[in-house]
Amino acid sequence: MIRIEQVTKRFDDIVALGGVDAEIAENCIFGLVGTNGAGKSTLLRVIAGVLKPEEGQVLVDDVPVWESVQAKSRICFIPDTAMFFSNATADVMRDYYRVVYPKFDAERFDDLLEKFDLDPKRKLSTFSKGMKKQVSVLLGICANTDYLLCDETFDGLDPVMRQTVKSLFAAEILNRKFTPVIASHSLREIEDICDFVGLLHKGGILFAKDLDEMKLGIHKIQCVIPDETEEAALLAELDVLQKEKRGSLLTIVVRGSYDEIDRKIRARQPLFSEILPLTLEEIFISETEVAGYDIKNLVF
Amino acid sequence: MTSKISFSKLVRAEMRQMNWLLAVQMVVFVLTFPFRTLMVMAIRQNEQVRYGVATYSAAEEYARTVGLGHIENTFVILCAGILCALAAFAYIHSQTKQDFYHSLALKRENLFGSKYVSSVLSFVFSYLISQMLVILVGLFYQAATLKVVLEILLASVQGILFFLCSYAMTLVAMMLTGNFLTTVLGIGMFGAYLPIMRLIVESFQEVFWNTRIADYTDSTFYVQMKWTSPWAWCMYATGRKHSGTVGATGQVPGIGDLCQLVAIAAVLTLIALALYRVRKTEAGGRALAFSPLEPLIKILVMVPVSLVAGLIANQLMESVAFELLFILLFGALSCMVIEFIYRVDIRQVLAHKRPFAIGAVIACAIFFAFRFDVSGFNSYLPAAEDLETMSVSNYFGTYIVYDEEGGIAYSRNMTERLDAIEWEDFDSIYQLASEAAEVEKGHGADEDLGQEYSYVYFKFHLKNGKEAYRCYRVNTERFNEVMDELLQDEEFLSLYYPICTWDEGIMSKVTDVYAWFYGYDEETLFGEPDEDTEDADAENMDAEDAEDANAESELPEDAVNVESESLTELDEAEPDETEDTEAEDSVVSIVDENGDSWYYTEEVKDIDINVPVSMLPELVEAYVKDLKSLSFEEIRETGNEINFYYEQTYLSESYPINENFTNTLEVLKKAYYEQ
Repeated sequence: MIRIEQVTKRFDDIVALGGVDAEIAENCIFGLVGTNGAGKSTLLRVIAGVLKPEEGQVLVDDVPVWESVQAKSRICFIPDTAMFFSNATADVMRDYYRVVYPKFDAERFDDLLEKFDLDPKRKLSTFSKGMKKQVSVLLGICANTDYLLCDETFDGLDPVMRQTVKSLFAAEILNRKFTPVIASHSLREIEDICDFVGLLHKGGILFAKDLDEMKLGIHKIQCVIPDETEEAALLAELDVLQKEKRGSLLTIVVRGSYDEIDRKIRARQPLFSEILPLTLEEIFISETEVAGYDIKNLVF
Repeated sequence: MTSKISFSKLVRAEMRQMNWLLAVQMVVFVLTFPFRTLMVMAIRQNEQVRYGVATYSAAEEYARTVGLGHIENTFVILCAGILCALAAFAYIHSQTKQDFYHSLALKRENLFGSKYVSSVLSFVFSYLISQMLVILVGLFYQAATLKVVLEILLASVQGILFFLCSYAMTLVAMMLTGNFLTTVLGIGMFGAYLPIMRLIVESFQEVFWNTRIADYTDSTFYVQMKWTSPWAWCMYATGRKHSGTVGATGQVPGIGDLCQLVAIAAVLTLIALALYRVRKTEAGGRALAFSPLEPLIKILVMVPVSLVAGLIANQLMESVAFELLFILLFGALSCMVIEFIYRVDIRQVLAHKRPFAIGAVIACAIFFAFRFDVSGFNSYLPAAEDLETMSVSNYFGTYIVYDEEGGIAYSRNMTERLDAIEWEDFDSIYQLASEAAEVEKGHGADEDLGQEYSYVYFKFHLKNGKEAYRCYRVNTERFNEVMDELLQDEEFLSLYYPICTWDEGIMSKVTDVYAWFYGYDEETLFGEPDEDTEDADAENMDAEDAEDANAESELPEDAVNVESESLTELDEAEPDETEDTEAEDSVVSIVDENGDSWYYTEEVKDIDINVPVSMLPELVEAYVKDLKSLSFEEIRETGNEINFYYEQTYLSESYPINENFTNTLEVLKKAYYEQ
């Protein structure tokens, strides 16, 4: 488990991370979302041991990561812009990774290169942005570390490749101890892959939760209740996070269990009622509004 | 379980990434060392074949070309040090590369070590290969003796140490900076800042300490310079000669010198490593890695710029107002440039004014302290009771000084001359110096004090071991008076004119004696020739007549009215052009058929006398007799000298001579007509 304890990182007068606390459990996919400049990359760099926080610490299984060979040997970091040697080919990078990541699986890398239709002898400088991303992800996966930190990894990948990489992550989680941490500025990009999501804003994590738990606990309901007194009573009964009424159609986002909410609505004899699935964006909007933030201005 | 990265594998992997560096160095070193040697040897062989003889033997030529003491080789090696450090550690200026390297499961020192070792090995490999090729070239031309090969090996060790010094210095500059531009400036700063500062201080002393006796032949200046930067140290070590039996050139890098180089490289490497450990990753891309250094560097750059600007203003205008203006103006400009380098934003060049204010105060304090001689350097006079000895002299002649082991030490300059004539009973010298100090206190350096003052050199040797040399303006009469009093003492006379102590042993070392008289003819110098010298004189005269006849035949055919004029007459006609030709040249005027006058100068024959060594005892005896009988004023220098050369070396001892030295002139006359 990665534990982030009160991490503060400043760049001169700018506070990039201000007392961030979070936990990243093993064998799950952790999504880190936030606007540009929210501190996602900085947090990943601190977790990877690239940056030293001014305050607080990051622990990998209770071992502080800063200057710890033991802790860092369990982490592979894929930055937004991958580092390739000048004039290097995928083969050259593979050979170097074999040295710096002792558990690197060269055979698998070759195999994956072939499957991704990437020429191992071609200079990486001639690759497109997306192809470079693919190589860097493959290098990261084949490094065989417990944690893979991916900064904007899906940015630049086409939908097919994105799905393929997601599948690769899923397969890795099934086959070994593997915890990818994916930072992205887009909720849509990671909502169908992440188990946990942390929202970072202005250097602080607003919250980090299990996505399924969030989805089970929040529901979007559309209903028509002819009696306004009944409608008011219903709204009073429910834990309403959001409310919107167009004509007689009432749309509410409610916290609570599905069955209980359904029972309470039916008791008010609605002309029409439907419980709809919430997108990750909607869950975030609701949660952050509760936390006192207008998420629409933060993320979208 | 932790999987550790193998250091040796990492070094090999790093070296593979730096193949290009190896290739570049290989090409440069092969061209610099073996190829150059090959060319030199081939040219020599060609000379041998074409002319049947070559200037040097193959072994000599080879020994001259390879090995120690080649400044150009040192330059190439120092450049290699810079290049390798830049190539190996360029990643610290790139955020992307730092993200990669610093996320690896490596301690910072291990990462530093792998980069360090791999780049140093790339140099060592290419350098040693090129040195091996040099030996092969020597073997090919049958010129590589064991001695030369040994010298090449020693040179290789020295070269590697030079490389390490330059490399480590570059690393320190890189660790302190965050981008390529500031790194280059930083390298320049570490390599050249202190040498430049030393030269600026030297310029200030030269300009404002007008009573200073500058001594550039003294090794002290160069020893000081070597401490100013690793580059200077390497250059100094390259040029330093050691006597020894090893090596074809007789030079050996002293163990002490090599140890010093090792120490410099080690210290700089440790500093670089310490900086690397505390250097923040986010410093990559910034101007400086440690922002608290920003104002300090600004001041460090501003001060010398301001000082040089002030000095230029002083030399051009000699106006305090302009000096101040230049100091502030160029100081401000340098601050603005530095600020721009820091921020890369023209709008912020005027930000952070405090360093400018501090720098301006420092620059003004230094400049005007020199300008107005706040330290009292130009009128220095220690308390008499603090002095151990004093020296006084006005003669620039060189003297051979014998060291304790009987070897020849060459007195090349005034400070060494003053060192050789220290005198314990210095009351009269001190009195003279105090009068001189008062004169200097009351008059500016450029003030003309007239003919009655002359420059006299003093040395103050203090009881605490310190030594001070000064050149003060002294009343000439007083100086002569003091010198006459001092020269009464035989011991001082012998110190002042070492020829007085010459015995057969010293004279046996003299191989050549020459006396030079400028602007004299025989009659003026020797008077009427004796009968027995008339024949020789006539021969000399015939030769001169023949020369004159030749000269006349070269005059234009249509020239008329050729007449010799006295210098006085010509001075009236062309005062500006003949000012410096007194007594040395005669002036000939030619009037052509159009009545136009043409002037040209014809050099009067100087008298050079080569005195046979067999006459040396006679000459020395006569000279010493003259010295003892003449007053100091009569011994005066006229620019004419007797030079005694030693043992086929270029070392010589020179003494003043003029027409008052009658006994000496008698001996010289004899030698002249016999030569």
